[in-house]
Amino acid sequence: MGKNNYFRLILKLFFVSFFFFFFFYPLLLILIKSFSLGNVNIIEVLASKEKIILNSFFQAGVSTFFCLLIGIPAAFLLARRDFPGKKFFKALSLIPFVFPSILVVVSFVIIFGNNGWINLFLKNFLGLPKHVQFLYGFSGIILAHVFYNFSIVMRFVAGAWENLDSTMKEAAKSLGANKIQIFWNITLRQLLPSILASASLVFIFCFMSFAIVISLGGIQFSTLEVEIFRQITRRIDFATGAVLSLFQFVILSLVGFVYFYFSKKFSIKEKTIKEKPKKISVKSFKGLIETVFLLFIAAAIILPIVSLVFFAFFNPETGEFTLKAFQKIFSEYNSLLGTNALTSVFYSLVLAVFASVTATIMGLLASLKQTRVSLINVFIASSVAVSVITLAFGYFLGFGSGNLIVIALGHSILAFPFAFRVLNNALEKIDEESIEAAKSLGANEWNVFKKIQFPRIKNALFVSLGFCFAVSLSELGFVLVLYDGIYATMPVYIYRLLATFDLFAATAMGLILISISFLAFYSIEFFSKEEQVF
Amino acid sequence: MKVKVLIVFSLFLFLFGCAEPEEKDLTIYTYDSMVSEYGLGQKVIPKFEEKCNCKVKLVSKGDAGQLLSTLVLEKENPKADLVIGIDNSMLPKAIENDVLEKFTPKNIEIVPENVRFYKEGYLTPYDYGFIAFVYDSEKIEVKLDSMDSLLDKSLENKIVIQNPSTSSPGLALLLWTIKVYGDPGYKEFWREFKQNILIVTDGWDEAAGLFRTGETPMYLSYATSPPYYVEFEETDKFLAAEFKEGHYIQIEGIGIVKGTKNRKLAEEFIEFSLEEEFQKEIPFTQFMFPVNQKVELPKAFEYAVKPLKHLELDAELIEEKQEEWISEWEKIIISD
Repeated sequence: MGKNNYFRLILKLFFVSFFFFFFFYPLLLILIKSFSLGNVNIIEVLASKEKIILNSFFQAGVSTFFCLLIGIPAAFLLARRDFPGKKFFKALSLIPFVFPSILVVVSFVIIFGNNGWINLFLKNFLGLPKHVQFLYGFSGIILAHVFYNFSIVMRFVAGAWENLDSTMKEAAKSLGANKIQIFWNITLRQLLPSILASASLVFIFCFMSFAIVISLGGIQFSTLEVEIFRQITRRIDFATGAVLSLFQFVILSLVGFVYFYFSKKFSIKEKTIKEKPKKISVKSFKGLIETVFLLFIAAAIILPIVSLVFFAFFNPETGEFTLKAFQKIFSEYNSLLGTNALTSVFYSLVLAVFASVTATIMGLLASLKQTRVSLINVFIASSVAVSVITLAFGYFLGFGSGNLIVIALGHSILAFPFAFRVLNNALEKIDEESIEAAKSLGANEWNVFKKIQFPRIKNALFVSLGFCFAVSLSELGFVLVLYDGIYATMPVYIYRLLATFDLFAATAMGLILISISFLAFYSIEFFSKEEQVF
Repeated sequence: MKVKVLIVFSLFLFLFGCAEPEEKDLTIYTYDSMVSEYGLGQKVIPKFEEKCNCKVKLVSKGDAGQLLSTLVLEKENPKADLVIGIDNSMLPKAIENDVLEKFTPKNIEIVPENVRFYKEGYLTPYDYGFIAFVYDSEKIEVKLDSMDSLLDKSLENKIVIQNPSTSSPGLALLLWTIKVYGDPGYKEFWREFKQNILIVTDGWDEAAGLFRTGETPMYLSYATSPPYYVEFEETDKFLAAEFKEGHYIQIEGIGIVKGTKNRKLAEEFIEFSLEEEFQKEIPFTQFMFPVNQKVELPKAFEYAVKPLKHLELDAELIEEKQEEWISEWEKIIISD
């Protein structure tokens, strides 16, 4: 036992110091710096931003609702149905995560715009006299947010659904409960932790939202994050920026806390009897609806990619096929830095691999009961609530810039919440009794982990790696503040191409980013074996 | 187990002990597009290195706003000698935060009076440009020759502009309308102009995206955008509208960072930046006008609008009123 305790302590110490150095310390620095550079009245600052704050809440709430509306049925299909190309579909569902933001605008406009494909179809085939305005308003915000975030709900909930205990369901059935009662009282209750987990993450993301989304919805949906960015980089008012990011951090940490509380209350232990997924059959009416829904989701991800392919490969004036955009990317060489488009792929992958592995290890440490530091955990879980721009400047003050390892560690912090929630959910479900039983038979903690916990969270580990990889691969803001121009990643390269006015080359580079990510996601799916059932 | 602890701590030590740059090297902070594969940096830096027989470290600090933020954060312990890319709209902030050292190059006479900074001595201009509405001449029929022509009913929901609180051309447009119509006259203009705006984007990139996909026939860009389309996309149907009231000017400058240990070399670089060798690379990397008027502009620049009248508001007034103007503007745009 003494050896176990020692091992635990080391892990705990390692975990706590990691978060202290790479999360709290940079934030502390930025706070100290901010308040030494200016004086502000906290109440006054917040009162003046009342509208933005209320808007952020409203918009995030509605967006989260719609993500659940699409995400939960999709999770059902992923967990309970077998269909051809399931792995392809799973890999595809992570693509919106890495979509470079400018390309979301381009592809959404091509598809949903007033002169977009859908409107062309409505006009030419259904004879609609006037276009339908999908974008540039509330519906634009919802569309973009659902595109970005529904896969979080789908993947989190599907993970839980796959491992649901069927004994209770069978018992209820034998007592005469109908399907709706079973779903409402048993299935939904069992899924609640994962639903709340994903909903809280989605809410946080929509609350902060990307500046880009606002370009499709309208400035009335501007968010606090945009305002923080503006205070720090446009008005050079660090004090106001710090007050706002502190406020955002507290509010969103509360959301994280709510999740934590509920997932404890509702978590239901796994008893290894699981239902096997059924094959989708298009012959029944139910099967047909399921198929249509799946195709709809696949189309919602594939169509934007197809529209980008058109944009990158065809001359918009003449409609001719052209490789000009790709030639431009691969012919350039940066004599100052010795970099080119290929090195940007390399740097992106190095960062993403490092960040996903680190974040997953940290997520695992935070989730294992043996190493859990419960009170701190609540706050650590809120690392998702921090403004990227604030954290980046904190890193700049603390560690300087131009260091690849530092950037990678920052990416791990940004990806950590995914790893933590995916793994925590998976571990919570493991039956306490079997762990205790193993221990009483003399198994040490390492053996408990290896023999009991690890096999049951294998899938969750892969999901975590996939998500963290995607988060790191698509991150632009953090790199831009800290990389000194040296380690241009793929998103940076796209940013540079845009600065040359060349939207077509930027799209071409975006397609390269999307393809590489897809290959990575697909191989993660390919190597993740179906969970073993003992 | 103790080995693990040692590894962890040596990792931290390694991360904290970042190497300082050598002092005789010239360190220049700038925005990202300057250091990029397609930027001005790699055309001119090697030339200067040859000339001064020194090493130049060109460091990207994100966009122009993040560049200034970084200088302010580093104020007590500056690592840069020079900064490239602070413009006339940010100069008051740079002066207020006291991050620049005064310097006037010997060859400043190359720069015409009307493209110099309102407060001289802090920054030396290297290029300048104007904001303008760029439109697809095959789709827009109305004659665009003044600010008032933007109010034409045929343009309803056809124009994309940028948000003044997040984008510099967006802010310049707001200031432009205030310069033309005065305060509070600009409010009346915006109330009417609103009908013609399809969407206000956060940045220039998104607006350009909406334009290039054909979703909108007109967007707020630069007077020097058409040369790009002519040179690299071989189309001359995208034009910039020239307004008779004149155009709001953007001037970008180079300045010496306060506390530099390389002042002499920094001065040399600024003087070099005004020479033709440096200036002739500006049109096709920056898509701006070089300040050195002896530089012959490429043929595609015939499609640029070079307004005779340069408009600019008083910088102190902007500092004082900017927040109020932006919030008034927001009220008008958001209201139904």
